[in-house]
This record gives sequence, C-alpha cells and structure tokens, in this order.
Amino acid sequence: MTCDETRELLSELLDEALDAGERARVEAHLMGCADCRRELDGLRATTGLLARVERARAPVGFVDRVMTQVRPVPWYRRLGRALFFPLSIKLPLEAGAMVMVAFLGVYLLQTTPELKEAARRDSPAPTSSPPAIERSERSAPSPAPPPARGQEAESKRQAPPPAFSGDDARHGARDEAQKNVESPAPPPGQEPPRTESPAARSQMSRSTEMRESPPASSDDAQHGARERLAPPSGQEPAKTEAPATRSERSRSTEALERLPKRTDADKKGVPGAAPAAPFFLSAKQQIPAPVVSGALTVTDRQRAEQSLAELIRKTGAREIARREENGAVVVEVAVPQPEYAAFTRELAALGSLRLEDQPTEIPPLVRLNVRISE
Amino acid sequence: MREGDAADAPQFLERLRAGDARAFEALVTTHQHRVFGVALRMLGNAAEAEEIAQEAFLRAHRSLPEFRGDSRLSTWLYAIVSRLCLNRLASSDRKAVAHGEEILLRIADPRGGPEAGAERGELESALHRAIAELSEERRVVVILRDLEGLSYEEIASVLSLELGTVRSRLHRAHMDLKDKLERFHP
Repeated sequence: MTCDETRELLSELLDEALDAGERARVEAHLMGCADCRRELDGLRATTGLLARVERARAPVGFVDRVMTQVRPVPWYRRLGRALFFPLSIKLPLEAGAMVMVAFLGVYLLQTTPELKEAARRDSPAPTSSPPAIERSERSAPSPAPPPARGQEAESKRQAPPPAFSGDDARHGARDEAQKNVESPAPPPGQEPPRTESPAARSQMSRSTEMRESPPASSDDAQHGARERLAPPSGQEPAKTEAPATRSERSRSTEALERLPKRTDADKKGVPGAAPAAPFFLSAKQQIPAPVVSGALTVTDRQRAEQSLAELIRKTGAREIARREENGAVVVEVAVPQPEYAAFTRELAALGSLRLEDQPTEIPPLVRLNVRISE
Repeated sequence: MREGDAADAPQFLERLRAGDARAFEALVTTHQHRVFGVALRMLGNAAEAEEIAQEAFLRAHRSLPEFRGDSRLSTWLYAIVSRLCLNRLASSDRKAVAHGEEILLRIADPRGGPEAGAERGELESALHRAIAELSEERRVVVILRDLEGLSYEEIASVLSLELGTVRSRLHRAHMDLKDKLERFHP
C-alpha cells in the first residue's frame, strides 16, 4: 500500500469506518512509515479540535414560533384565502387591471378627437375649422351684416359653443340662426386669414366684452341689431363673408367706429327685419346706418368697379368692405344723406340697378350693399 | 443511543402521521438544536439559520403523513435542512453576500463574552473560520460527521451521495482543516 492510498483512508481509520482487511493493511503501512504516522497524528488532533466546537442552540421561543406556523388555519381564513388570492397572485392581477384601465383611458382620449375630426370631414362644407374666437372676430367689427349666417351656423356645427353663456334671447337667436342656414359655406379659398391685426384684436376683445356684459338696454339693442343685420325679406342675403384681408378688416373697423350712433328713428326705418340674427352679431350695435341692398348688373364688372370707386370718391362716401361672392363682388359703402340720391342715380347709370329696402326716411348716413355682377 | 432516538417509537410516529400537534411539538423540541445548528454552521447567520430551521420543520410537518420510517426522524430532518441550506447557498441572492470575514464575524459564539479566555476565543474563532472557509459540499459533510456525529452511511443517505463520495469529501475536508488548525495541535 502506498502512502497516498494509506492517507486516503486515515479519516476512516480514525472514525473506525474501515473493514478489518483495510484496517490491517493501513496499520501495516503505518508501522513502517513515519510520515504517514505524523499525518495520522495531525488528523487526530484536528478531529479532536472539531469535537470541542460547542453545539449551537436554537434561539428561545423557536418551538413556539414553529408551532404557531403549523397550527391548522381556521375555516374562515382558508375561505378568505380562497376568495382573495395570495399576494403573489393578487398583486400582478391588480397591477394588470390598472394597466388595462390606463390603456383604455388613453385609447378613449385618442379616439374621441378622431371621431370629431371624422364628423368634420363628413360635413358638407369643406372649410377648415375656424376657432370660436375667429368667429366673434369676424362678426364683431365687420359691417358685413347677416350674410355670414350660413357660415356662422357652419362654424357652430364644427366648433363647440363658447365658454360664456348668453341670455335666453341670445340662445334663441343662435338656435334660429342655425335653423336658417340657407346656403353652403364659402369655398375654402375664401376663408379669412387667422392672424389678426392689432386693431382687429382690440375690436375683437371689445366685442367679447360686449357679449359678456351687455348694456342695460341689451334687449332693445339686440333686437335693433337683428333688424339691422337680418336681410330683408325676399332678398337673397349675402351668404358668406368675403375673405377680407387684414388691411380691409382694419379699414372697415375704423369706418365703423367713425359712423354715428343709431337712433330710434333709424330703427323704425328698417323694414322687413328678421329676428334671426345670431346672438354674437349684437356687437354690430355700433353700426348706425340702416342697410340698403342693391343688385347692379353690368356688362363689364371691372369697369363698373372702377366707376363705383370714382363715384365713392366724388360723393364723399366711404367704402367699408369688399368681398367676392359667387362670381360677383359685394361692396359695402356708407353714403352721406345729401349725396345718397346722386349716388344711387349714378350707380343706376352703370348698369341695371335694383335697390331694395329703401328707407322711407333717409338717415344721415346710409349703408349700402352693392352687389355687382355681370 | 442518540438524543431523539426514543422519539422514533412506532406509537410516536403514528401520532405524528395522524397530525397530533403535541407529538409534533415534541419532535420540534427534541430536534430544534440539531436542525438550527446545521443551518447556523452552513449559513453563518443566526437570523437566516432560524428562518431555514423553521422552514425545515414546516416542510417536515407537511410531509409527515408520507414519512415511511425507513430512516430515523433525525436523519430525515438533517436531510431536509441540509437541502434547504444548500439551495439557499446556491441561490443568486445568497451568492451576492460576501463570504469569508464578513460571515465569520456574524457567526454567533455560543461561549462568547468578555469572560472567555483569549486562547479559547482564538481557537474558537479559528475553528469557525476554518469550517466556514470550506467549500459548501465539504462543509456540510464535516458538520454532519464531526459536529453532529452522523455515520458515513447516514451522511450518504442524507445528502443522497455515494458512500465513496462521502469518504473522499470528508478526507479532503479534514486535510484542509488540518492545515489551517495545525498551530493549535498539541
């Protein structure tokens, strides 16, 4: 037996785990090998040291803690565990539910605007959706009276109502305005620009103030506005607002501000007033003159426009606004009372003129809408 | 006869299998120090050792109805706690814990205290250190053989190893310990 073979068995020799034959062979080798004897002595000393290691003791209360855990669980607790899953199952379930709710919320938020957008695309007028603020801006300072009815109603269909709430009369007028949509909205190319000049912006804010805090006689004034702004019965109203440029808008605003205040007598002089003026047109209370509409049919429209410009300059009238409409141009003019007769006479000389809603009593300043077409 | 062997009486085993709480409490009371000792020497942390020892008894409680009595109850409990310790040591959480000095410092010294002699304290520390520095597979064999007194055959049964493997591991472990503890030899 070699030294290595002997040393492999030394631990078992010490533990008396060898059979008789192995034990005899190991002891025979040890008798003649001092190194292996020293190895055996070292191992014996080591195991002797290990025997001195103090046995560990379980902490106090260990048995009670174990017994607490192994006691049978009452039936109601078992039922509770069965009904309400263990935490390792319940937590992922709850987390999953929360994630699902979050996804659903995001999904609804994303899909709702799309549905609105789809509804806009389905609407007959392919206009871009004007913001509510633009609507008031267009209606407030512009002297263009009722014509924007169809467009306004369209705007109402596209955009939510403004945040403020008007009185009942206003709401009634608005509803009626929606009902009275008679013509389609202007083509997209006629959409007015959205950027505003400072003058228009100030006018817009003024009109907003007027809407939010109407004057004491708001009922009368609004009624008057309806009378002024509604188209005369039997006359085709100017249905859409012209794509007024910013300068035109500013100019018309200034012209309106220069116009004198409307009197009661003026109110009476307007026949055929329709009660369907949109509520936001109440800002046109500033427009003092009654509206006279005229349809001028000419052979050369450009030439007629030039002649009209000369006529305006000659008579001291003022052009308030101008817009294109279905192949015609509608020029809004404020004519002083002394020049009104001459103005209409010379206007009639340009082509075939048909005037409607002539006031029985000529006010100091007459507002005249001239629609020039070929 | 080893402590606890009396608890292997057939009547006692029947009570255990029947779910007798008092019988089980007696089993825990009898074997608590052995089970806890193995866990403490293997893991080197008293709190972790108690957790593992409790888990060992809970598993034994659940498995008692299937216990056939082929081995002694103590051997069966050693097998459970040894497996739990080896699994814990192999777990990723446990591997993150630093070994060596840190673990040795956490080993409770049962005879510690200022009154303990310096020489005895040094020997105890050296013994704990030497055991803790053994590889896990050698450490468990040394603990079961030299500290708990199991036979080679019982160790082979507890650890599900061949008898030759147990002999070899034990011999290697003793040789390691001899080298580390040589200065304390007489």
